[in-house]
Amino acid sequence: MKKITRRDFNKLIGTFGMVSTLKTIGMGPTILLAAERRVVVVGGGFGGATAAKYLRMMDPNLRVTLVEPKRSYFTCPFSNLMLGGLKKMGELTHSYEKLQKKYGVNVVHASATRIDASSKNVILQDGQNLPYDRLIVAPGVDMRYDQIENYSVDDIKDIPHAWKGETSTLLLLQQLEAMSDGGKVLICPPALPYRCPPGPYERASLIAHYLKKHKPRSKILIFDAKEQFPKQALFSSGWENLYGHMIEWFNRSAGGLILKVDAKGMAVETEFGRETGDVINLIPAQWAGKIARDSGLVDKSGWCPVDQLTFESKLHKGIHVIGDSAIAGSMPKSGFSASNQAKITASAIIALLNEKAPTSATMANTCYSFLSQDYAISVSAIYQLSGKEIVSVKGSGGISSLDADLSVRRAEAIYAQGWYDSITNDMFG
Amino acid sequence: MTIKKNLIKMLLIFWFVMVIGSLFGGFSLLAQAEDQKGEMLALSCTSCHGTHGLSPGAMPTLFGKSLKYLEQSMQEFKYDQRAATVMQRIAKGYTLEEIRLISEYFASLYIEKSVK
Repeated sequence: MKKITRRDFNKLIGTFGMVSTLKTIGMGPTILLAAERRVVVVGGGFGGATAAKYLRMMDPNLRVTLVEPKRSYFTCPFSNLMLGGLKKMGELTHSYEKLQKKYGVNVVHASATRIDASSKNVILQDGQNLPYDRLIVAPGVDMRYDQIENYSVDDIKDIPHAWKGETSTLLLLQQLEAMSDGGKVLICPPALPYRCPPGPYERASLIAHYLKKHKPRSKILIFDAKEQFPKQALFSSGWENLYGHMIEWFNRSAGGLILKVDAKGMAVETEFGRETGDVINLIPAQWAGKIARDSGLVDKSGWCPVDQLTFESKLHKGIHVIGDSAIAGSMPKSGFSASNQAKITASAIIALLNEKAPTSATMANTCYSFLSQDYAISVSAIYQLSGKEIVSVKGSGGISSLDADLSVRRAEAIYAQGWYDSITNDMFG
Repeated sequence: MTIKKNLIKMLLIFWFVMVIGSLFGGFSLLAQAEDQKGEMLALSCTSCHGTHGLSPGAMPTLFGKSLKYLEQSMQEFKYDQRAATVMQRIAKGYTLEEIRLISEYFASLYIEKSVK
Protein backbone atom coordinates (compact mmCIF):
# COMPACT_ATOMS: atom_id res chain seq x y z
CA MET A 1 0.00 0.00 0.00
CA LYS A 2 1.20 3.45 -0.83
CA LYS A 3 0.72 6.10 1.77
CA ILE A 4 2.25 9.43 2.48
CA THR A 5 5.41 8.32 4.27
CA ARG A 6 8.00 10.35 6.13
CA ARG A 7 10.21 10.22 3.05
CA ASP A 8 7.45 11.55 0.85
CA PHE A 9 6.62 14.11 3.48
CA ASN A 10 10.17 15.41 3.37
CA LYS A 11 9.82 15.64 -0.39
CA LEU A 12 6.61 17.61 0.02
CA ILE A 13 8.28 19.94 2.51
CA GLY A 14 10.90 20.29 -0.19
CA THR A 15 8.15 21.46 -2.51
CA PHE A 16 7.24 24.26 -0.16
CA GLY A 17 10.90 25.17 0.17
CA MET A 18 11.07 25.35 -3.60
CA VAL A 19 8.08 27.62 -3.83
CA SER A 20 9.72 30.24 -1.67
CA THR A 21 13.04 29.90 -3.51
CA LEU A 22 11.30 30.38 -6.82
CA LYS A 23 9.93 33.73 -5.77
CA THR A 24 13.43 35.15 -5.86
CA ILE A 25 14.12 34.03 -9.41
CA GLY A 26 14.35 36.83 -11.89
CA MET A 27 15.41 39.31 -9.22
CA GLY A 28 19.05 39.15 -10.21
CA PRO A 29 21.78 36.58 -10.70
CA THR A 30 21.47 33.61 -8.38
CA ILE A 31 24.32 31.36 -7.37
CA LEU A 32 23.04 27.91 -8.17
CA LEU A 33 23.73 24.87 -6.06
CA ALA A 34 25.35 22.09 -8.04
CA ALA A 35 22.50 19.74 -7.22
CA GLU A 36 19.79 22.11 -8.46
CA ARG A 37 18.58 20.85 -11.80
CA ARG A 38 16.79 23.20 -14.15
CA VAL A 39 14.22 22.22 -16.73
CA VAL A 40 12.71 24.89 -18.96
CA VAL A 41 9.46 24.25 -20.81
CA VAL A 42 8.60 26.48 -23.77
CA GLY A 43 4.87 26.57 -24.53
CA GLY A 44 1.98 26.19 -22.07
CA GLY A 45 -0.53 24.04 -23.94
CA PHE A 46 -1.59 20.41 -23.49
CA GLY A 47 2.03 19.26 -23.80
CA GLY A 48 3.92 22.03 -22.02
CA ALA A 49 1.59 22.68 -19.09
CA THR A 50 1.23 18.97 -18.36
CA ALA A 51 5.01 18.45 -18.58
CA ALA A 52 5.71 21.32 -16.16
CA LYS A 53 3.23 20.01 -13.58
CA TYR A 54 4.35 16.39 -13.81
CA LEU A 55 8.05 17.27 -13.63
CA ARG A 56 7.37 19.01 -10.32
CA MET A 57 5.16 16.19 -9.03
CA MET A 58 7.69 13.53 -9.97
CA ASP A 59 10.68 15.40 -8.57
CA PRO A 60 9.95 18.33 -6.24
CA ASN A 61 13.66 19.21 -6.20
CA LEU A 62 13.63 20.18 -9.86
CA ARG A 63 13.51 23.83 -10.81
CA VAL A 64 10.92 24.06 -13.55
CA THR A 65 10.27 27.21 -15.57
CA LEU A 66 7.36 27.42 -17.98
CA VAL A 67 7.63 30.09 -20.67
CA GLU A 68 4.27 31.10 -22.14
CA PRO A 69 3.37 34.58 -23.43
CA LYS A 70 -0.37 34.26 -22.76
CA ARG A 71 -1.85 34.86 -19.31
CA SER A 72 -4.52 32.22 -19.82
CA TYR A 73 -4.98 29.27 -22.13
CA PHE A 74 -7.87 28.83 -24.56
CA THR A 75 -8.29 25.18 -25.54
CA CYS A 76 -8.69 24.13 -29.16
CA PRO A 77 -10.56 21.01 -27.97
CA PHE A 78 -14.20 21.98 -27.40
CA SER A 79 -13.85 25.25 -29.35
CA ASN A 80 -16.20 23.76 -31.98
CA LEU A 81 -18.85 23.63 -29.23
CA MET A 82 -18.43 27.39 -28.95
CA LEU A 83 -19.09 27.73 -32.69
CA GLY A 84 -22.21 25.62 -32.20
CA GLY A 85 -23.43 27.99 -29.50
CA LEU A 86 -23.00 25.31 -26.82
CA LYS A 87 -20.05 26.74 -24.85
CA LYS A 88 -18.93 30.19 -23.83
CA MET A 89 -15.34 31.32 -24.25
CA GLY A 90 -14.82 31.51 -20.48
CA GLU A 91 -15.58 27.80 -20.12
CA LEU A 92 -12.66 27.00 -22.42
CA THR A 93 -10.15 29.39 -20.83
CA HIS A 94 -7.79 28.22 -18.09
CA SER A 95 -5.42 29.97 -15.70
CA TYR A 96 -1.76 29.18 -15.03
CA GLU A 97 -2.09 30.27 -11.42
CA LYS A 98 -2.18 26.80 -9.84
CA LEU A 99 0.89 25.65 -11.76
CA GLN A 100 2.74 28.44 -10.01
CA LYS A 101 1.11 28.43 -6.58
CA LYS A 102 0.26 24.78 -6.02
CA TYR A 103 3.02 23.04 -7.98
CA GLY A 104 5.85 25.55 -7.70
CA VAL A 105 6.35 25.94 -11.43
CA ASN A 106 8.02 29.25 -12.23
CA VAL A 107 5.60 30.57 -14.86
CA VAL A 108 7.17 33.30 -16.99
CA HIS A 109 4.74 35.15 -19.26
CA ALA A 110 7.09 36.09 -22.07
CA SER A 111 7.96 35.03 -25.59
CA ALA A 112 10.95 32.79 -26.14
CA THR A 113 12.71 34.10 -29.23
CA ARG A 114 15.72 31.83 -29.51
CA ILE A 115 17.31 28.68 -28.15
CA ASP A 116 21.07 28.47 -27.79
CA ALA A 117 21.57 24.71 -27.76
CA SER A 118 25.34 24.90 -27.30
CA SER A 119 25.26 27.05 -24.15
CA LYS A 120 21.89 25.55 -23.10
CA ASN A 121 19.97 28.80 -22.81
CA VAL A 122 16.53 29.97 -23.81
CA ILE A 123 16.58 33.64 -24.79
CA LEU A 124 13.44 35.65 -24.07
CA GLN A 125 12.13 38.64 -25.99
CA ASP A 126 13.44 41.09 -23.36
CA GLY A 127 16.92 39.59 -23.68
CA GLN A 128 16.74 37.58 -20.46
CA ASN A 129 18.50 34.20 -20.53
CA LEU A 130 17.02 31.08 -19.00
CA PRO A 131 19.70 28.42 -18.52
CA TYR A 132 18.59 24.79 -18.56
CA ASP A 133 19.91 21.30 -18.02
CA ARG A 134 17.08 19.88 -20.12
CA LEU A 135 14.62 21.78 -22.31
CA ILE A 136 11.13 20.83 -23.45
CA VAL A 137 9.84 22.58 -26.56
CA ALA A 138 6.05 22.39 -26.99
CA PRO A 139 5.01 25.24 -29.29
CA GLY A 140 2.09 23.53 -31.05
CA VAL A 141 1.46 24.32 -34.68
CA ASP A 142 1.80 27.38 -36.88
CA MET A 143 -0.33 27.90 -39.98
CA ARG A 144 1.37 27.77 -43.37
CA TYR A 145 0.41 30.56 -45.72
CA ASP A 146 2.76 29.44 -48.49
CA GLN A 147 0.86 26.41 -49.79
CA ILE A 148 -2.11 28.05 -51.54
CA GLU A 149 -1.85 30.69 -54.25
CA ASN A 150 -2.79 34.24 -53.30
CA TYR A 151 -3.26 33.28 -49.64
CA SER A 152 -1.53 35.24 -46.86
CA VAL A 153 -1.69 35.89 -43.13
CA ASP A 154 -3.67 39.09 -43.82
CA ASP A 155 -6.54 37.01 -45.20
CA ILE A 156 -7.40 35.53 -41.81
CA LYS A 157 -9.19 38.78 -40.97
CA ASP A 158 -11.77 37.84 -43.63
CA ILE A 159 -11.47 34.04 -43.72
CA PRO A 160 -10.41 32.91 -40.23
CA HIS A 161 -8.82 29.49 -39.70
CA ALA A 162 -10.17 29.29 -36.14
CA TRP A 163 -7.64 26.51 -35.59
CA LYS A 164 -5.57 28.15 -32.91
CA GLY A 165 -6.28 30.81 -30.30
CA GLU A 166 -9.45 32.56 -29.24
CA THR A 167 -9.27 35.58 -31.58
CA SER A 168 -9.68 33.61 -34.76
CA THR A 169 -12.37 31.34 -33.25
CA LEU A 170 -14.34 34.36 -32.01
CA LEU A 171 -14.19 35.94 -35.47
CA LEU A 172 -15.61 32.82 -37.09
CA LEU A 173 -18.36 32.71 -34.45
CA GLN A 174 -19.29 36.35 -35.14
CA GLN A 175 -19.38 35.71 -38.88
CA LEU A 176 -21.71 32.75 -38.41
CA GLU A 177 -23.97 34.82 -36.18
CA ALA A 178 -24.03 37.66 -38.71
CA MET A 179 -24.81 35.40 -41.67
CA SER A 180 -28.37 35.47 -42.94
CA ASP A 181 -30.60 32.41 -43.30
CA GLY A 182 -29.91 30.62 -46.57
CA GLY A 183 -26.21 31.47 -46.43
CA LYS A 184 -23.40 29.22 -47.55
CA VAL A 185 -20.55 28.18 -45.23
CA LEU A 186 -17.37 26.74 -46.77
CA ILE A 187 -15.06 24.62 -44.64
CA CYS A 188 -11.72 23.73 -46.26
CA PRO A 189 -9.62 21.18 -44.32
CA PRO A 190 -5.97 20.46 -45.24
CA ALA A 191 -4.16 17.21 -46.00
CA LEU A 192 -2.64 15.23 -43.11
CA PRO A 193 -0.69 15.74 -40.91
CA TYR A 194 -2.41 18.58 -39.05
CA ARG A 195 -3.67 19.32 -35.55
CA CYS A 196 -6.83 17.41 -34.56
CA PRO A 197 -7.60 15.24 -37.62
CA PRO A 198 -11.38 14.81 -36.93
CA GLY A 199 -11.75 18.49 -35.92
CA PRO A 200 -13.02 19.92 -39.24
CA TYR A 201 -15.86 17.37 -39.35
CA GLU A 202 -16.88 18.00 -35.76
CA ARG A 203 -16.87 21.66 -36.71
CA ALA A 204 -19.15 21.07 -39.69
CA SER A 205 -21.50 19.12 -37.38
CA LEU A 206 -21.72 21.77 -34.71
CA ILE A 207 -22.07 24.65 -37.16
CA ALA A 208 -24.94 22.62 -38.65
CA HIS A 209 -26.37 22.27 -35.14
CA TYR A 210 -26.39 26.07 -34.85
CA LEU A 211 -27.73 26.68 -38.37
CA LYS A 212 -30.50 24.09 -38.08
CA LYS A 213 -31.80 25.94 -35.05
CA HIS A 214 -31.37 29.53 -36.24
CA LYS A 215 -30.84 29.55 -40.03
CA PRO A 216 -32.27 26.28 -41.33
CA ARG A 217 -32.13 27.15 -45.06
CA SER A 218 -28.32 27.47 -44.93
CA LYS A 219 -25.77 25.02 -46.37
CA ILE A 220 -22.31 23.80 -45.37
CA LEU A 221 -19.93 22.73 -48.11
CA ILE A 222 -16.69 20.95 -47.18
CA PHE A 223 -13.87 21.18 -49.73
CA ASP A 224 -11.33 18.64 -48.54
CA ALA A 225 -7.69 18.20 -49.57
CA LYS A 226 -8.08 14.54 -48.53
CA GLU A 227 -9.77 11.59 -50.20
CA GLN A 228 -11.15 10.28 -46.87
CA PHE A 229 -11.38 11.62 -43.35
CA PRO A 230 -11.30 10.16 -39.81
CA LYS A 231 -14.47 8.51 -38.44
CA GLN A 232 -16.01 9.18 -41.87
CA ALA A 233 -18.74 6.51 -41.76
CA LEU A 234 -19.83 7.68 -38.29
CA PHE A 235 -19.91 11.33 -39.33
CA SER A 236 -21.73 10.63 -42.58
CA SER A 237 -24.53 8.62 -40.99
CA GLY A 238 -24.80 11.09 -38.11
CA TRP A 239 -25.04 14.04 -40.51
CA GLU A 240 -27.81 12.35 -42.44
CA ASN A 241 -29.79 11.57 -39.30
CA LEU A 242 -29.29 14.90 -37.59
CA TYR A 243 -29.05 17.42 -40.40
CA GLY A 244 -30.50 15.84 -43.56
CA HIS A 245 -28.64 17.30 -46.53
CA MET A 246 -27.33 20.44 -44.87
CA ILE A 247 -23.69 19.23 -45.05
CA GLU A 248 -22.09 18.31 -48.38
CA TRP A 249 -18.56 16.95 -48.61
CA PHE A 250 -16.27 17.03 -51.65
CA ASN A 251 -13.09 14.99 -51.52
CA ARG A 252 -9.89 15.79 -53.37
CA SER A 253 -10.90 13.95 -56.55
CA ALA A 254 -14.27 15.66 -56.51
CA GLY A 255 -12.68 19.11 -56.62
CA GLY A 256 -12.00 19.43 -52.88
CA LEU A 257 -8.44 20.75 -53.16
CA ILE A 258 -8.16 24.52 -52.77
CA LEU A 259 -5.78 26.00 -55.36
CA LYS A 260 -6.26 29.71 -54.88
CA VAL A 261 -7.88 32.14 -52.44
CA ASP A 262 -9.71 35.40 -53.09
CA ALA A 263 -10.40 36.65 -49.58
CA LYS A 264 -11.79 40.05 -50.64
CA GLY A 265 -14.15 38.37 -53.09
CA MET A 266 -15.04 35.75 -50.41
CA ALA A 267 -14.18 32.93 -52.79
CA VAL A 268 -11.86 29.98 -53.24
CA GLU A 269 -10.77 28.28 -56.43
CA THR A 270 -10.76 24.52 -56.77
CA GLU A 271 -9.88 22.32 -59.74
CA PHE A 272 -13.55 22.45 -60.65
CA GLY A 273 -13.91 26.23 -60.53
CA ARG A 274 -14.69 29.17 -58.30
CA GLU A 275 -16.77 28.74 -55.13
CA THR A 276 -18.11 31.67 -53.16
CA GLY A 277 -19.15 31.51 -49.52
CA ASP A 278 -20.90 33.83 -47.07
CA VAL A 279 -18.54 32.45 -44.44
CA ILE A 280 -15.28 30.74 -45.37
CA ASN A 281 -13.30 28.71 -42.86
CA LEU A 282 -10.05 27.77 -44.58
CA ILE A 283 -7.96 25.53 -42.33
CA PRO A 284 -4.49 25.76 -43.87
CA ALA A 285 -1.64 23.25 -43.82
CA GLN A 286 0.49 23.47 -40.70
CA TRP A 287 4.02 22.97 -39.42
CA ALA A 288 5.90 23.07 -36.13
CA GLY A 289 5.71 26.28 -34.07
CA LYS A 290 8.12 29.11 -34.93
CA ILE A 291 10.59 28.61 -32.08
CA ALA A 292 11.12 24.99 -33.21
CA ARG A 293 11.67 26.08 -36.82
CA ASP A 294 13.98 28.94 -35.82
CA SER A 295 16.05 26.69 -33.56
CA GLY A 296 16.93 24.02 -36.09
CA LEU A 297 14.62 21.42 -34.58
CA VAL A 298 12.62 20.65 -37.76
CA ASP A 299 13.51 18.51 -40.76
CA LYS A 300 12.40 19.23 -44.32
CA SER A 301 8.85 18.09 -43.51
CA GLY A 302 8.47 21.11 -41.21
CA TRP A 303 8.04 18.86 -38.14
CA CYS A 304 10.50 17.79 -35.43
CA PRO A 305 12.16 14.37 -35.58
CA VAL A 306 12.62 12.93 -32.09
CA ASP A 307 13.76 9.76 -30.38
CA GLN A 308 10.33 8.23 -29.82
CA LEU A 309 11.27 6.79 -26.41
CA THR A 310 12.39 10.04 -24.75
CA PHE A 311 11.15 12.67 -27.25
CA GLU A 312 14.67 14.08 -27.31
CA SER A 313 15.34 15.88 -30.57
CA LYS A 314 17.37 13.97 -33.14
CA LEU A 315 18.89 17.28 -34.19
CA HIS A 316 19.85 18.85 -30.83
CA LYS A 317 20.86 17.00 -27.66
CA GLY A 318 19.23 18.05 -24.41
CA ILE A 319 16.10 19.41 -26.13
CA HIS A 320 12.87 17.40 -26.08
CA VAL A 321 10.02 18.20 -28.45
CA ILE A 322 6.50 17.08 -27.54
CA GLY A 323 2.95 17.55 -28.81
CA ASP A 324 1.85 18.72 -32.24
CA SER A 325 5.36 19.79 -33.33
CA ALA A 326 6.89 16.35 -32.81
CA ILE A 327 6.96 13.45 -35.26
CA ALA A 328 5.59 10.75 -32.94
CA GLY A 329 5.08 7.68 -35.11
CA SER A 330 1.43 6.76 -35.44
CA MET A 331 0.20 9.13 -32.72
CA PRO A 332 -2.10 11.85 -34.06
CA LYS A 333 -1.58 15.54 -33.31
CA SER A 334 -4.08 15.83 -30.47
CA GLY A 335 -4.30 17.31 -26.98
CA PHE A 336 -4.47 13.81 -25.54
CA SER A 337 -1.31 12.71 -27.39
CA ALA A 338 0.52 15.83 -26.19
CA SER A 339 -0.58 15.23 -22.59
CA ASN A 340 0.56 11.62 -22.65
CA GLN A 341 3.87 12.47 -24.34
CA ALA A 342 4.42 15.17 -21.70
CA LYS A 343 4.22 12.67 -18.84
CA ILE A 344 6.44 10.11 -20.57
CA THR A 345 8.96 12.84 -21.38
CA ALA A 346 8.90 14.19 -17.81
CA SER A 347 9.76 10.75 -16.50
CA ALA A 348 12.45 10.26 -19.17
CA ILE A 349 14.04 13.61 -18.29
CA ILE A 350 14.16 12.72 -14.60
CA ALA A 351 15.76 9.38 -15.45
CA LEU A 352 18.32 11.07 -17.73
CA LEU A 353 19.17 13.76 -15.16
CA ASN A 354 19.85 10.95 -12.69
CA GLU A 355 21.88 9.02 -15.23
CA LYS A 356 19.38 6.18 -15.38
CA ALA A 357 17.97 4.50 -18.46
CA PRO A 358 14.53 5.83 -19.45
CA THR A 359 11.88 3.13 -19.62
CA SER A 360 9.35 2.83 -22.38
CA ALA A 361 5.65 2.89 -21.60
CA THR A 362 2.42 2.21 -23.39
CA MET A 363 0.67 5.40 -24.48
CA ALA A 364 -2.90 6.11 -25.50
CA ASN A 365 -5.10 8.52 -27.37
CA THR A 366 -8.84 9.06 -27.42
CA CYS A 367 -10.43 11.77 -29.55
CA TYR A 368 -14.09 12.55 -28.99
CA SER A 369 -16.11 14.44 -31.59
CA PHE A 370 -19.52 15.97 -31.01
CA LEU A 371 -22.12 15.80 -33.78
CA SER A 372 -24.65 17.65 -31.65
CA GLN A 373 -25.17 18.54 -28.02
CA ASP A 374 -25.90 14.98 -26.89
CA TYR A 375 -24.44 12.97 -29.74
CA ALA A 376 -20.71 12.16 -29.70
CA ILE A 377 -18.40 9.56 -31.24
CA SER A 378 -14.82 8.59 -30.51
CA VAL A 379 -11.67 7.07 -31.92
CA SER A 380 -9.15 5.45 -29.64
CA ALA A 381 -5.76 3.76 -29.88
CA ILE A 382 -3.07 2.31 -27.65
CA TYR A 383 0.54 2.87 -28.65
CA GLN A 384 3.81 1.07 -28.02
CA LEU A 385 7.35 1.48 -29.15
CA SER A 386 8.23 -1.09 -31.79
CA GLY A 387 11.93 -0.75 -32.48
CA LYS A 388 12.33 3.00 -32.78
CA GLU A 389 8.81 3.79 -33.94
CA ILE A 390 5.59 4.39 -31.99
CA VAL A 391 2.93 2.08 -33.47
CA SER A 392 -0.60 1.23 -32.42
CA VAL A 393 -1.14 -2.08 -30.66
CA LYS A 394 -2.78 -4.58 -33.01
CA GLY A 395 -6.31 -5.65 -32.15
CA SER A 396 -6.97 -2.64 -29.93
CA GLY A 397 -8.53 0.78 -30.42
CA GLY A 398 -10.82 1.80 -33.25
CA ILE A 399 -13.94 3.89 -33.63
CA SER A 400 -17.36 3.88 -31.92
CA SER A 401 -19.68 1.14 -33.11
CA LEU A 402 -21.48 2.12 -36.33
CA ASP A 403 -24.78 0.55 -35.31
CA ALA A 404 -24.87 1.80 -31.72
CA ASP A 405 -28.14 3.42 -30.70
CA LEU A 406 -28.68 6.97 -29.51
CA SER A 407 -28.14 6.08 -25.84
CA VAL A 408 -24.52 5.17 -26.66
CA ARG A 409 -24.03 8.45 -28.55
CA ARG A 410 -25.49 10.30 -25.56
CA ALA A 411 -23.19 8.42 -23.16
CA GLU A 412 -20.19 9.36 -25.30
CA ALA A 413 -21.24 13.02 -25.17
CA ILE A 414 -21.26 12.79 -21.36
CA TYR A 415 -17.84 11.09 -21.33
CA ALA A 416 -16.48 13.62 -23.81
CA GLN A 417 -17.29 16.36 -21.30
CA GLY A 418 -15.78 14.14 -18.58
CA TRP A 419 -12.61 13.84 -20.65
CA TYR A 420 -12.40 17.62 -21.03
CA ASP A 421 -12.88 18.18 -17.31
CA SER A 422 -10.23 15.59 -16.45
CA ILE A 423 -7.56 16.56 -18.94
CA THR A 424 -7.78 20.30 -18.30
CA ASN A 425 -7.67 19.58 -14.56
CA ASP A 426 -4.65 17.32 -15.20
CA MET A 427 -2.95 20.30 -16.89
CA PHE A 428 -3.96 23.23 -14.77
CA GLY A 429 -5.73 21.98 -11.61
CA MET B 1 -31.42 7.81 5.70
CA THR B 2 -28.54 5.35 5.52
CA ILE B 3 -28.03 6.21 1.86
CA LYS B 4 -27.99 9.89 2.69
CA LYS B 5 -25.50 9.33 5.52
CA ASN B 6 -23.28 7.29 3.23
CA LEU B 7 -23.47 9.97 0.61
CA ILE B 8 -22.45 12.62 3.10
CA LYS B 9 -19.62 10.40 4.30
CA MET B 10 -18.43 9.85 0.74
CA LEU B 11 -18.60 13.53 -0.03
CA LEU B 12 -16.61 14.26 3.12
CA ILE B 13 -13.94 11.73 2.15
CA PHE B 14 -13.81 13.14 -1.38
CA TRP B 15 -13.54 16.66 0.01
CA PHE B 16 -10.76 15.58 2.34
CA VAL B 17 -8.86 13.88 -0.47
CA MET B 18 -9.14 17.04 -2.57
CA VAL B 19 -8.03 19.28 0.29
CA ILE B 20 -5.01 17.14 1.13
CA GLY B 21 -4.23 16.89 -2.55
CA SER B 22 -4.32 20.64 -2.97
CA LEU B 23 -2.27 21.23 0.18
CA PHE B 24 0.56 18.99 -0.89
CA GLY B 25 0.32 19.56 -4.60
CA GLY B 26 -0.23 15.90 -5.28
CA PHE B 27 1.00 12.62 -4.00
CA SER B 28 4.45 11.26 -4.49
CA LEU B 29 4.88 9.81 -7.94
CA LEU B 30 7.55 7.37 -9.01
CA ALA B 31 8.45 6.88 -5.37
CA GLN B 32 9.83 3.38 -5.56
CA ALA B 33 11.54 1.64 -8.43
CA GLU B 34 9.40 -1.50 -8.23
CA ASP B 35 6.22 0.56 -8.54
CA GLN B 36 7.43 2.34 -11.61
CA LYS B 37 6.01 0.12 -14.30
CA GLY B 38 2.45 0.36 -13.00
CA GLU B 39 2.82 4.10 -12.47
CA MET B 40 4.25 4.61 -15.93
CA LEU B 41 1.37 2.68 -17.50
CA ALA B 42 -1.12 4.61 -15.37
CA LEU B 43 0.10 7.92 -16.83
CA SER B 44 -2.04 7.23 -19.91
CA CYS B 45 -5.16 6.52 -17.83
CA THR B 46 -5.00 9.83 -16.01
CA SER B 47 -5.53 11.94 -19.15
CA CYS B 48 -9.18 10.79 -18.98
CA HIS B 49 -9.57 9.67 -15.36
CA GLY B 50 -7.82 12.65 -13.76
CA THR B 51 -4.49 13.22 -12.00
CA HIS B 52 -3.86 10.18 -9.74
CA GLY B 53 -7.12 8.75 -11.10
CA LEU B 54 -9.15 11.38 -9.23
CA SER B 55 -11.78 12.44 -11.71
CA PRO B 56 -13.35 15.89 -11.36
CA GLY B 57 -16.25 15.07 -13.70
CA ALA B 58 -18.13 12.26 -15.42
CA MET B 59 -15.20 9.85 -15.80
CA PRO B 60 -15.05 7.16 -13.12
CA THR B 61 -12.45 7.74 -10.38
CA LEU B 62 -9.77 5.03 -10.21
CA PHE B 63 -7.90 6.36 -7.16
CA GLY B 64 -7.99 3.88 -4.30
CA LYS B 65 -10.47 1.47 -5.89
CA SER B 66 -9.93 -2.16 -4.92
CA LEU B 67 -7.45 -4.24 -6.88
CA LYS B 68 -10.11 -6.85 -7.54
CA TYR B 69 -12.61 -4.33 -8.91
CA LEU B 70 -10.08 -2.61 -11.16
CA GLU B 71 -8.51 -5.78 -12.50
CA GLN B 72 -11.81 -7.56 -13.07
CA SER B 73 -13.32 -4.52 -14.83
CA MET B 74 -10.38 -4.25 -17.22
CA GLN B 75 -10.47 -7.99 -17.94
CA GLU B 76 -14.20 -7.84 -18.64
CA PHE B 77 -13.70 -4.91 -21.02
CA LYS B 78 -10.83 -6.73 -22.72
CA TYR B 79 -12.89 -9.87 -23.35
CA ASP B 80 -16.14 -8.06 -24.27
CA GLN B 81 -17.93 -9.34 -21.18
CA ARG B 82 -19.02 -5.88 -20.10
CA ALA B 83 -20.68 -3.18 -22.18
CA ALA B 84 -18.74 0.06 -22.57
CA THR B 85 -18.41 3.03 -24.90
CA VAL B 86 -14.63 3.16 -25.27
CA MET B 87 -13.04 0.95 -22.59
CA GLN B 88 -13.49 -2.29 -24.54
CA ARG B 89 -11.34 -0.76 -27.31
CA ILE B 90 -8.72 0.50 -24.86
CA ALA B 91 -8.47 -2.62 -22.65
CA LYS B 92 -7.58 -4.77 -25.67
CA GLY B 93 -4.32 -2.84 -25.97
CA TYR B 94 -3.05 -4.11 -22.60
CA THR B 95 -1.76 -7.55 -21.56
CA LEU B 96 -3.14 -9.23 -18.44
CA GLU B 97 0.12 -8.44 -16.67
CA GLU B 98 -0.11 -4.75 -17.59
CA ILE B 99 -3.72 -4.71 -16.39
CA ARG B 100 -2.58 -6.16 -13.07
CA LEU B 101 0.20 -3.56 -12.69
CA ILE B 102 -2.13 -0.65 -13.48
CA SER B 103 -4.76 -2.00 -11.09
CA GLU B 104 -2.19 -2.49 -8.32
CA TYR B 105 -1.01 1.06 -8.77
CA PHE B 106 -4.43 2.72 -8.49
CA ALA B 107 -5.46 0.34 -5.69
CA SER B 108 -2.34 1.31 -3.74
CA LEU B 109 -3.22 4.99 -3.58
CA TYR B 110 -4.83 6.20 -0.40
CA ILE B 111 -4.60 8.92 2.17
CA GLU B 112 -3.12 7.84 5.48
CA LYS B 113 -5.59 9.67 7.70
CA SER B 114 -9.24 9.54 6.80
CA VAL B 115 -12.40 11.04 8.16
CA LYS B 116 -13.82 8.98 11.01
